[in-house]
Amino acid sequence: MKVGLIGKKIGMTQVFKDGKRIPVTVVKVEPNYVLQIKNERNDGYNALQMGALKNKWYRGTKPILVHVMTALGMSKEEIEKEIKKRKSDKLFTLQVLKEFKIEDTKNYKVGDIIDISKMAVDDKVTIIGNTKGRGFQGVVKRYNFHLGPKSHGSHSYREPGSVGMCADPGRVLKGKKMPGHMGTNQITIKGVIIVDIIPEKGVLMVKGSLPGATNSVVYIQK
Amino acid sequence: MEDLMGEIKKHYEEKIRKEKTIPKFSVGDTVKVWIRVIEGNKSRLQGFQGVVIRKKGKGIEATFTVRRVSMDVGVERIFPLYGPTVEKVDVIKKGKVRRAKIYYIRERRGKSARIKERKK
Repeated sequence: MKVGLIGKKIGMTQVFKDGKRIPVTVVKVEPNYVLQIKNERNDGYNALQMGALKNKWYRGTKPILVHVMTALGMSKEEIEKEIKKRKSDKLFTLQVLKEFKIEDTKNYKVGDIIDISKMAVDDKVTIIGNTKGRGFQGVVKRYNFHLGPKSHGSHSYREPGSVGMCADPGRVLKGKKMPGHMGTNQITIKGVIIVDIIPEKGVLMVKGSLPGATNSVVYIQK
Repeated sequence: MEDLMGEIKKHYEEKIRKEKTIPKFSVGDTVKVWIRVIEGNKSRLQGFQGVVIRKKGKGIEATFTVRRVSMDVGVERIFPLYGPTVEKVDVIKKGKVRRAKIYYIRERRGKSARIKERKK
């Protein structure tokens, strides 16, 4: 992985390319700040901690505020002074912090701003996001079990059926697929193609759908 | 809140509008759609003549459906209004209809499937 970015899913539309209609998801990438650099010697691996999605300074917790502002070159005294002023146009906090493992951290330093200029059209990227929550679901929707017979006195239309054997082993095996909570789990999609980029709007168009609702956060890695 | 999604759709719409003119016609019109067909490395134009029975969607996502009866079999094709394969659309006859979607034409054959002509 060379670079990781935090983005926001905006919606879907379509784009014409080479005479073909391509379904695309629009991902907005606001400027990402490098907040911390992890290296092999100190941490055992190379990674960048990125932050994105600006918010008013009083919205988040103070530790994050101080972490963000010190990374961007403010001293702790300055931050305290700004906080005392109550109204500050210098301070801001970031809604999402995320660490991305990368091969080489040489070209980056703390406080750098990374935007979508690191991405190019036709690049294949990996996108991570959380799926929509679906609540407590039965086994048909959750695991694509087959339906039972609809009629002829059937009592097992959407039932899970047998959950195991008899007296031996006398218990249900662990990991048996049963009804329960579905959704809000993390999904990684590899090989997503970037169809188009609109730099002035900070927007990526990627082919196909992405997990999660509109305005949910997605992580893009290249 | 800013309407980023709308702006993006508009961005693509204007981009296509610069390259080609978007044909103007309405539901009920008899049109001939010229489609760019690519065979190997050669491309040619293919016509499809029929009645517009539906216009759907806005901006770049808009499509229209053309119906023709060929050899007693109804054929409907859906075209993207902004698609690059739709080279041009010739309006052959303007139709006068009272519906926005004239699906009722599917159940009609022969004389009752006629559409009144709209005179200017």
